[in-house]
Amino acid sequence: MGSENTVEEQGTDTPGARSLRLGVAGPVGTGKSSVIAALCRALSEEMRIGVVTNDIYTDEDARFLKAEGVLPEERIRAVETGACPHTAIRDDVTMNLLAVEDLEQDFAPLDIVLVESGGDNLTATFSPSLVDAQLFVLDVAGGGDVARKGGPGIGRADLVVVNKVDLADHVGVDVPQMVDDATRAREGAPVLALSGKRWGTVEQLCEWVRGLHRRHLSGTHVPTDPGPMAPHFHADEEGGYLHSHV
Amino acid sequence: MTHGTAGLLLLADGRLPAGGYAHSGGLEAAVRTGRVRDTADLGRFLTGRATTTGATNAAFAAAACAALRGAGADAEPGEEQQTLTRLAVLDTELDARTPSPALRRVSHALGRQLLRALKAVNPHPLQQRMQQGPNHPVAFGAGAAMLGLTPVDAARGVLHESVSGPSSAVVKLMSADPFDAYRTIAELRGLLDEIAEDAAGRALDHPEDLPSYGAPLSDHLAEDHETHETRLFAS
Amino acid sequence: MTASAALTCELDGRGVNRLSRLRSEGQLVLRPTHAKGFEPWAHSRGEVARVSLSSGTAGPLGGDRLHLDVVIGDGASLVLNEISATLALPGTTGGRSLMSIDVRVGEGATFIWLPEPVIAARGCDHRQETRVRLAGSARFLLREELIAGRHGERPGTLAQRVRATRGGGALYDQELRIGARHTGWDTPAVAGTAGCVGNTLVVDPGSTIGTGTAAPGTRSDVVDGSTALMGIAPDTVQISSVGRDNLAVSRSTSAALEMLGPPWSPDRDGDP
Repeated sequence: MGSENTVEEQGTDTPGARSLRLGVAGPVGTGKSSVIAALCRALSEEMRIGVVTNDIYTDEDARFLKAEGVLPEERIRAVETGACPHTAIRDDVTMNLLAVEDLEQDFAPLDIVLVESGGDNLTATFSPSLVDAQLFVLDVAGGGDVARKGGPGIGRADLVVVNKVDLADHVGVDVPQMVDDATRAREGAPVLALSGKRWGTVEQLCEWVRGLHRRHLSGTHVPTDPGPMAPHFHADEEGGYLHSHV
Repeated sequence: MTHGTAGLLLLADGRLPAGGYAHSGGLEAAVRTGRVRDTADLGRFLTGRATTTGATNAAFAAAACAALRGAGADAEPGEEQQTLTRLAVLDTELDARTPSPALRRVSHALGRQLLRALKAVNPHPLQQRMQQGPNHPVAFGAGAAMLGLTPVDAARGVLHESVSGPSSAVVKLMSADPFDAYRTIAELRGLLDEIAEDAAGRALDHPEDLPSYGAPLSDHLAEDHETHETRLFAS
Repeated sequence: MTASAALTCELDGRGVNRLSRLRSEGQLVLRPTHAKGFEPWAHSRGEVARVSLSSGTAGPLGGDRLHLDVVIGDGASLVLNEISATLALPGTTGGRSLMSIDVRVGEGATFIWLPEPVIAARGCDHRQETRVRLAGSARFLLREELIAGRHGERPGTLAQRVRATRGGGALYDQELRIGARHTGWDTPAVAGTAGCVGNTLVVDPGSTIGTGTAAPGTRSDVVDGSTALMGIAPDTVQISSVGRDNLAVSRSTSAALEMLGPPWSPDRDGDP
C-alpha cells in the first residue's frame, strides 16, 4: 500500500503536471535578480509565478525582489546555501527542491517557479533534478570575451542572456560580436541581448519563456543537463594539461 | 555482526544530499562572538556539543530506530500505527528538550530534508505516512532503521554529524587548518563511542525518560545567529 | 538522611487560599510566611498563600534522599520561596544526594516558585529532579539558579532536571549538568567559564508571551550576549542566562522578565 503512495508522489513530478521550473544562473553581479524582477513584472498578469532565491549570505536577493514589489512577498522564498551556491543547485538540491515543492503546493497551481542561483563562477549549472530549463546570465561589463570562453552554462544552458547591453558603449564591448561569439560557442543555440531599460528586449525574453512554457505543458520540452564542469586547462611547467572534474 | 556498515556510511556521510552542508552547528555564531578563537576552542566546543545536544539527539535517534525496527516490512497495520505514534511522541519530547525556537526550526528543516532525500535514495512505505518534518534525529533514526541499521548505528551517525558539521565549516569561519579540525574529532572518538553506546542502551526507554541535556550557550548562539543579517551558514 | 515534606494549597468554600497540608521533615522545613522581595505576578496580591522552605540542617550531603511534594488545587494561588541558598556538599561516606520534587498545579491555579540558588560545593554530587504537572489552564513561574562552587572553588558535580508537562504532554524538559564529572559543561557550547547558570520558565495560559514574529511559540529576544528569552509555546517562555555570578544572572533575568510586561515585570507604579 505504501508503494502506491510512492507512485502517487512521483506522479506530481511528471513534467507538465506541475509548474515549469526555470533556473537562472550566472556569475556574480550579472543581473540575475534583475532578470527575474523583469520577468515577474512583465509576466505576472498572464502567469502565476513563484520565486526561490539562493544567497551566499542570508536572504539579500529575496529582499531585493520583495522590495521591487513584482510579486506578492509570500511567493518569494529564500534558501540559505551555507557559502556554497553551486552545491545548492547541483550536488545537493534538497533545500531548493523542497522550497520549489512548497511554493507549488502553497500556491497551486503555479505556472512557473523561477530559481535564482547564488552568484558563482562560470562553471555553476543547475542539476536537472531541480529545474526543467535554465538561463545563463552574462553581462557586457564582465568583458566581451567571456562568451567565447564557454563552459557548461554558456555552452549548453537553454538560453544565454547577455545583460546590460545599454552599458556596452561605456565598457567598450561590441554587443553583436559578443552575441556572435556566444552563439558560436553554443553551436547556434539561442542567445539574447537584454537590457532592462529596453522594453523590446525584455519582451523577447518573455516570448522565449512563453514558448518554453508551452513546450513544457505539451510535454515536448526535453530537459537537458548542461553537464558538470567542462574539461579545462591548468597551466603548469610542462605546458599544461587538460582534465575534467567529475 | 557485519550488518549495516555500508548503510551507516551512506547515512552519516556529510555529502549525502540532504542540506547539511548549509549549517555550522552553531560554530559561526561562536566564532563571531569570540567564544571560539582557535582549534583548541573548537575541541572544547565540540566536546560540549557532543555531551549535551549530541547525547540527547543520539538517544532520540536510537529510540526512533528501535521504534521502527520493531515494525518490519511485513508488519501488521496496527503495529505500523504504533510505530508512527511512537515516532510522534519522540518528536514532541525532543521539541520539549529544545528550548531555542531557532534550533527547533533547524532540526525540523534538516529532518524534512533528510526524509525527502531518503524517499528518493531508499524508498520505504512508512516514509509517506510519517510526519513530513520531524526533528532531524527522529528522521535519522527512522532512516537508519529503514537501511537495516541498529539503534547504536543511529546514535553513532547522529553524533558524528554533530561534530563533523562544525569541523568542516570551521575553515570557512576562521583561520584554521582543516587537519587540526579533524584531529579534534579523532581525539573525541572515545567519548563519542561512549555516548553512542549509552544512547543505544536507552533506546527502549519510555520517551519521557530519555536524556534532556541542556546547553544554554548553544541556545543563545542559535538565537543570536538568527538576528544577524550577514551570515554564511543557516545555523 | 531521608526526608519527605509535603504542601497542599487549596481554595476553600469562600474562595480563600488554605494550606490544607503542610508537612515538614528533617531538613525540609515548610513555614507559612509573608512576601519576600519582588514576586512576579503575585507581588501586589494579598490573597496569595505564601510558604517558605528552609533548611533545618546543612546540605544536602552526599547520601541524602530528599523529597518535596507540592499540590496546588484548582483555582488556588501559592508562592513558594526559600530562606537561604542550598549548598550541596559531599557526604562523609561519599555517594550522591538526591532531591526530588513533584509539583501538581490544577486548573486555573497559579504557582510562583522562587527558590534560592543551588551551589555546587567542591566534591558534591547532587542531583535535583523536578517534575511539574500542569493542568491546561495552570499558571506557573519557576526561577532558579545554579552556582558553580563557592567563591574561588572548583565545583563538585551537580545535575538539575526540570520537566514540565501540560495536560499530560511534554512542554519543557531540560537537565543542566555542571561540575567535575560532567565533561564538556565548561565549554563554549554549554556554560563556558560562567560561575552561574539561570533558568526561568513562565507559563501563562491565555497570554501570547511566547509568540514571535515568525509564528506562535517562536519568540526570540536576545537580552544580552548570554541571556535569551525564548518561546517554548504560544503562552510559554524560557529565560536562559549564563553569567559570571548570580548577581549578573539575576540582573539579566529581571531584564528579560521586564520584557514580558505585566504581570511578570516589576510594577513600577505600585512600588514605593
